[in-house]
Amino acid sequence: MDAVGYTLKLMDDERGGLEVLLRRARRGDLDAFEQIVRAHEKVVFRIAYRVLGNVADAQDVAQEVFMKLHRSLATFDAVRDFRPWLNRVTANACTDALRRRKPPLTLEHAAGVAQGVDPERATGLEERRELLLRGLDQLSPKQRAAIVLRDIEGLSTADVAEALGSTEATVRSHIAAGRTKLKGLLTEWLRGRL
Amino acid sequence: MNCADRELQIALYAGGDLPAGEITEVEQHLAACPDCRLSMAFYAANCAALAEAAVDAGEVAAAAVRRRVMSQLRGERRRMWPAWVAAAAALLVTIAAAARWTAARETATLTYTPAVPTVAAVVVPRPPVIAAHRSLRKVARLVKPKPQEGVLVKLETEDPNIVIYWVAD
Repeated sequence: MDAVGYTLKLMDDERGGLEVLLRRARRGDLDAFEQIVRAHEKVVFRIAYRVLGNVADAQDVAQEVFMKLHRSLATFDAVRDFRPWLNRVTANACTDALRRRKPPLTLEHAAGVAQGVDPERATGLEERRELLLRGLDQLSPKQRAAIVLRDIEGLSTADVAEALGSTEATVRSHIAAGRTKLKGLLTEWLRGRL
Repeated sequence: MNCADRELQIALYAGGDLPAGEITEVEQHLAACPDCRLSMAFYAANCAALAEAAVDAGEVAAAAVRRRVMSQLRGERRRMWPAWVAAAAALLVTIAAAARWTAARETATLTYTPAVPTVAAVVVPRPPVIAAHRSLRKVARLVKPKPQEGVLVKLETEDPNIVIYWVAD
């Protein structure tokens, strides 16, 4: 088999692999379930971490998501249902965790954090990213989840809508409001008005 | 519609999320408004910066989640075994007793008389090993299990094909 053929075979194997693992996991095979967790732990943790902003909360939410996955294995009709389900449960768990939290950082605290960044250098990609990620704390739970799923994870608005249990129009509204707020925060911090 | 009214549309346009029916109108406005073009560039830079944040953050932390999940699931499964084992043992005792009762009503030509199953407990070190083996019925000495060791319980009958092993904490 040549290199192209080998690559195509690998892609087919990966698609078929999840289906086989799900079937085995439904029958109680914990090793198969562990392989499913291993394949998706990074993306679930990353979403939770970007929405919640700290490792401990993100780990708690990710654990909750995978325990729910184990209890719900029988509900998947096909492999195509799996990733949208995972996105949806992760987003819901994150927004629930945010609602249970104490109020977010105040603008003053956020400005204090931003003072560590040199405004003249802050137009660089890395510094800009750092400020934007800190600015996520100022968004509402739905806006934060929408921005994380769309702008960081790169999901389409349709997939974000499915994950959040909303319509695409509502998701666009959250995205627009979130981006506008982040722009306003970044502009103020760069100007040093706070 | 003025620039302030266009702000949300421009935020969506910069990320490629504006509905198709609104794109032409926004592009015409951007062509005529330098301030909105600057605003659009700011939004686009923010989207590009956030897109770079999709790197694997905390591989170690994510792996720790998997260990917690699997530890919890395997622990739940171990706690379920005694209930399952008790049910299996009760079922076998019932079957054996019924077979004995039935055999007692047969004529003299019947020689097979299953006895009440015996239970033997053998201490084995962790991890437990469960193996089927053909052996004569043995009566093992009951040994008080040491801490940290599991207990392998063997249920035997006269029928060598019916042997049940299980491990209890």
